[in-house]
Amino acid sequence: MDPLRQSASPCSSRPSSPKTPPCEMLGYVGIEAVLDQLKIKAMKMGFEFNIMVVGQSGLGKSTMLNTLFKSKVWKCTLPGLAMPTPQTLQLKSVTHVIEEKGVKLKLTVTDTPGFGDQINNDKCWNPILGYINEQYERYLQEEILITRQRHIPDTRVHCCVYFVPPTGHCLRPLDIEFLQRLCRTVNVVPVIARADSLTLEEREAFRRRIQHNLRTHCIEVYPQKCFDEDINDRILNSKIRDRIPFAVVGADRQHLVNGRCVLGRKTKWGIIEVENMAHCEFPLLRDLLIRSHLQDLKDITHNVHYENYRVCRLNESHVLPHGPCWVNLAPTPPGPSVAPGPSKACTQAREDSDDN
Amino acid sequence: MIKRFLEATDDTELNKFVKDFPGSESCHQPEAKTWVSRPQVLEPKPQAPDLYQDDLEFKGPSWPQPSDSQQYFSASAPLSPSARPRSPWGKLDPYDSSEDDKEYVGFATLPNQVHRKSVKKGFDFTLMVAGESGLGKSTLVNSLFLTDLYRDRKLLGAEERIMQTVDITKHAVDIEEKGVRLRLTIVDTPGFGDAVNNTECWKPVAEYIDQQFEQYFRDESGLNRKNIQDNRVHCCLYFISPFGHGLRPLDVEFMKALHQRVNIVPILAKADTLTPPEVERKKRKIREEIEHFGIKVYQFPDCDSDEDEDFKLQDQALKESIPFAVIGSNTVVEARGRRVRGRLYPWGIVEVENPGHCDFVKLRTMLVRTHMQDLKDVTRETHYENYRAQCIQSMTRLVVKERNRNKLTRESGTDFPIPAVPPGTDPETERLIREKDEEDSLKGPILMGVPVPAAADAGDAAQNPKTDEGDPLAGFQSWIFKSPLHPAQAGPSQHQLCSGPCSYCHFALHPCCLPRDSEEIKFNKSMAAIWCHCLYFYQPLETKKILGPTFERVLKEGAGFWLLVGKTFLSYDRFQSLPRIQSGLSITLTTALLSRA
Repeated sequence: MDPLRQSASPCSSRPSSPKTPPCEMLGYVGIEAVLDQLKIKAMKMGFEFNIMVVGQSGLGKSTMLNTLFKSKVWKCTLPGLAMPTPQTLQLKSVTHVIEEKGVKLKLTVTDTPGFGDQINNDKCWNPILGYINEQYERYLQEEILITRQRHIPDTRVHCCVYFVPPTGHCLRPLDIEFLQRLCRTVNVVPVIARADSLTLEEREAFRRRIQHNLRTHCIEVYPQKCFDEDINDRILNSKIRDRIPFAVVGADRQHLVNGRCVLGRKTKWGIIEVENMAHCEFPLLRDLLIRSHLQDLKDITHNVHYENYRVCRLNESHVLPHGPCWVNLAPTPPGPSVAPGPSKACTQAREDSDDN
Repeated sequence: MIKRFLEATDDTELNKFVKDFPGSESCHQPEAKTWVSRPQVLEPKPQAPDLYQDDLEFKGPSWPQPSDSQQYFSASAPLSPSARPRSPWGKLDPYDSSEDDKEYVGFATLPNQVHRKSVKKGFDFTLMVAGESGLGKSTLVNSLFLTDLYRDRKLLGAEERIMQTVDITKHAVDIEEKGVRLRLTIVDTPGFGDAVNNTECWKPVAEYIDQQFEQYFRDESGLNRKNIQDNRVHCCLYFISPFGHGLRPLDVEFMKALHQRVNIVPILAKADTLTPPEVERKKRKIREEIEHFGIKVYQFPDCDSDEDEDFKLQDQALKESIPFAVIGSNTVVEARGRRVRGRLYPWGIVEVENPGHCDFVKLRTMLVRTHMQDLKDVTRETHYENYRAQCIQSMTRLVVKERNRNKLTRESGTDFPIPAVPPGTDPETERLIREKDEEDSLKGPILMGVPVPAAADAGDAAQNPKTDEGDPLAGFQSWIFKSPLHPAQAGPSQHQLCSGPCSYCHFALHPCCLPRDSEEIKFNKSMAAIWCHCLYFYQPLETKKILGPTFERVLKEGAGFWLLVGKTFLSYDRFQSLPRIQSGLSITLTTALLSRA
């Protein structure tokens, strides 16, 4: 990943036009050592990532998570007879800390069992929206405290992976309803689940149809076009956009193929290798979520979605009841009550609210 | 036997035919000698008698030519009357050709006769496929019957799907194989389970099935029963998604709503996404859940205890494969050097017809080769009869309700639901009634027939209904009354249909005894509700009110007919014997459209 891209500044996704021309360097100063410092600090602090998986039961969400993070993040439960399908959607969160090469990642996984399983699935997206907004609210409450913590615990959902059942036809009305509502609140990455039921041609046709559906209904999935910063981004992201939704297969068992140990599913007619690009697009999903765009996901969540929420919330703040540490952020000029050193984003938001 | 016949080829039959004429068999009875001395027809002659020519395609063994056999007949002993000619059954002939005909009556060929008749008629089969979209229903249907029913199918876009409600579509196709014709009707349910809110999306399906039953109900009781079209759904393949953990709430609700109406065969669709242990697990789970929710799916009949072990094992395996894990394919791929129906994946090729890959072969065998007739039988005997019984019961319940109602308004017990009679008696009517009574008691029970001499009068009455007090008889002409049934030859005590006196309508006579002739029926057109069906058949369509005196007149002319009063059918006699018939009587007549015009 391009190190220059990895800016710690929360405003990195805002196109900022540097008005100051770069000045000539007369010698080696050592500015780039800053990157090392940042890296060391980040590694000490660790990273956080919150991911939510949404989809009908049986589409392999838990398996996919295990495959993604190569660990038993989620116990694959096969509900027995005793446990009936939950009548209402219940969200379950699990937090793990996984470590690789000295980098610690605090991973929070939210599952949504019972989504779309009922006969009447009206408003089944409301609990999910509620949960996401609740995380935003928590963060907001922390942020407007007078004495804030050094590092606000970030429980906001950075990415929502939506599992589309592989019918082979097109998006179902339930999918469209859900995606329409959620793409405005959170980064949504749709994937074609259980893609081993589609042949390659069927996959392509299905994908095209889904893309067409998404365009028709103005559903902007991650990576959103409007947040591309520069030409490199655009090229990279359009390649990704072309392949969205990825056709993925999840597996948590290992099998022997040609002397190698691979993750896959063993059927009577062959072994489906999960990490083989010819078989499925799981590597693309993994790269997108973890290897290349993880920070971007977090940035967009923080800078765009969270800000949107905050703006709405502030505008309504005169309607909603005051919380325990509620600070009046009504359109008055920033007084000393506001904690010093807010990020530029906060100021800008306030200006926006002033304008409104 | 029938099954084996279908799989036999003509050649094997011919060989057997040849073998049946061993020239060297010597230990025969005298009668059998004639058998042997017949000319050995080794090759089927094209001049086989026409009787068998057009039945089946096989170039069957031909009769010995009359000219040839003449000399034989005259030469040898006279043919015993029971000596059968060369049997056209070939190897299916249950009798050994050398058997003594005197020992056997010969009716063991009855199954063959039935078989040939039904082959002539052709078979029909209605199959319904239900399940969410995208589970491979159309592909499976195409694979099962090797047709392309859905060739011009256009998939709906997402926008259209949002507005979609559950539809019922029918595709019919005629398939012929080895001379056997099958008229296959596939009933599809697009839109099932696709919406966001799927409450009661099985209702259109249930209503469709009930509609077919009702239609058959009416047809069965109609005049012309020769060409009844049997549109009843014989089997419903319900597709369960392989992605869920067993049955979904929607699956459970659908099956519970339909298991009393149609044979449900659950199918685990798109089974190529599952590994073998997953298939096993899912099947077991689904079977457990089916039992847990009390869903009665189609049960395979137990095989006879005297069948061989192989067959029993097969049967057992079949029973344990529910739900069938199937894969369908519209494309042909190259696998292991052969061209097979299958799906080509980067990691391998799935063959549809490989029993090791999926249960498609089992399903096809079950559906077409072994259990098709049983499915039809169960539909006819169980589901249809249940529907019919329910229909009757609901009618009876209404009758009982009305009876109870009457008990409240009248002091004397009545056993049929005449609605409240307006007060005031017309002495004239009473007189008429009394007269009637006397007349009829002299006449005795009316068995058959329409008093034809009265035709003219009744016809007039029909044409001039307005002559009577501006009465609502005007509508009479529009009623169509036709006898739905053919009369029995026997007298009133023999009920062809309900085999016994009906307890609902207390008749002595029965519809079987009603006139058959169309002339008489025309005559009946203007008459009041004519006959009784013991509440079996028809649903009332309209009600018309008729004033007492006019009604009496009509009745007088139409003596011998039946009256439908309320929801009870009464014989004319019975009606007359009611103490309550008074003038100003307002009898609500229910008319029924008894059969198609």
